[in-house]
Amino acid sequence: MSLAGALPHAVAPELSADELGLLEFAMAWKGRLRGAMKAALPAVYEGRAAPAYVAAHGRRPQGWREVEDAMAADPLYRWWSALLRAQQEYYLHLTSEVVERQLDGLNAACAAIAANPRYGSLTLKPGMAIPDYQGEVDIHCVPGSYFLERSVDDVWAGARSDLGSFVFALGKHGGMNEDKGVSGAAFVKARFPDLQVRDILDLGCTVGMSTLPYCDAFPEARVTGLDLSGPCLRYAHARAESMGKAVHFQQGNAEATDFPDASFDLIVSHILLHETSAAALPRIFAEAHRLLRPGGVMLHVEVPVRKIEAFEQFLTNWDAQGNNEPFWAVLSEMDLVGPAVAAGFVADSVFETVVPTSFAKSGDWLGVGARKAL
Amino acid sequence: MRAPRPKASKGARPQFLADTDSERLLNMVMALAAEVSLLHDKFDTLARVSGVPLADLEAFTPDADVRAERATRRDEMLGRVLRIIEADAERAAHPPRPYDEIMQLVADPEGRIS
Repeated sequence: MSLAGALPHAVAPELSADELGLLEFAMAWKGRLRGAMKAALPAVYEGRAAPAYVAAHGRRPQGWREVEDAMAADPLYRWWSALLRAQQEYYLHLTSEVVERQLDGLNAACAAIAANPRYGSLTLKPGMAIPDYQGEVDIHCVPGSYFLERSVDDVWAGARSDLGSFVFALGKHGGMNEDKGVSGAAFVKARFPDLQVRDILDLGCTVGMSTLPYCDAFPEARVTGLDLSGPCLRYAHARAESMGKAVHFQQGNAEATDFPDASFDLIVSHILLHETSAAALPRIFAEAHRLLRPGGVMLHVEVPVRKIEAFEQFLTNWDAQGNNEPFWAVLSEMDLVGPAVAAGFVADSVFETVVPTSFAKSGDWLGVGARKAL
Repeated sequence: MRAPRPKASKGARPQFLADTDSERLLNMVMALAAEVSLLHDKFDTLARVSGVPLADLEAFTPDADVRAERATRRDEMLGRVLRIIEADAERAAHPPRPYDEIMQLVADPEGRIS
């Protein structure tokens, strides 16, 4: 069995009737947290949290951090937050267990596909160093994160991420979690109609959920996916092969890759930047500049972390600590033009704009990028 | 035999409710609510598929094999309900790095902690 519309590919984890019922409950639980409780938070802020802050400080809260100070003691906010964190940990536990019980079969199925690839390739670099911004915190509160590896054919982290991403997005990013890639590719075609795309690199590709749409959007191009995680890449390779998509997956760090200068026409990433750091982000931009051919395009499709209103920014930044994404809040305030120019891009080519969603996601994606001078 | 997966995620767990015990209980209550929801699903399945009278179902006496199957299922359910306590136990044995240190680490242009 599977969740309605979820993961129509041959190496997807299967669900028992019980697992299906529990995951459906977890998704319904999150759906409710997006409903009346969340909708009431602005009124709670204006009605009681902000006035209490004014009474104590003689002025309204300024900036999202002071809004957070004002809201921290509010009962509705505290229960909503506690329920949201509990839901996150609960569905992570379920998806972890689902994959664990069928892991031998998933490992074997992926290994069998990797032994005889028909479309793309898989190049792993065992023993690769995990940078602190990934190693010191389990992003999204997943115990074991992307890197738990207990055998040479381990795909646990990849299979869990595939299933978990569908549950996390409540299915609203497409059955293959493809929204970010489909939307990014459509954005590139619309904004850079003259761009000749022969080689594409997807940085931090995880299981290739955003990578595969580039195969469809640019059928003549060679598509490469780069990630730190061996378990995710093993799964990504089998997943792509089972879909008949040619992607060349390679283990590596987006800050410093092994590719020669001027290897790609289009370098993309999808919700990668907010999982890095202030030290790593400029290096990722610089590496992208090095790898791009003249006239090539860099596009990072991100969660919409930039908000105008302080209260909205506070709610958006919940994930920074609530969901173990420490760089999220830093990124929300970080100048990205400076690092892009320092990386070698001409300032006029640097953009930060809306990337419209192609699916049922609430709100759009943030697009950050630049074009290398000819 | 594969090594067990960790139960607690790295990164100190935030607390939103006024006391930690309430927060733990909330997690357990919601996990139990999931189990109750699942039971309703299963009763519904049973009624639709079997057509067996409820009295006959209640008169059923499980044998040793059935009891063993049920014990496994019960233990798995307890794993879901008690997850947060078991994760806390794991954190107690391996205390996480303070979260503000990680925030400093990722915010610092040199990747250092001041």
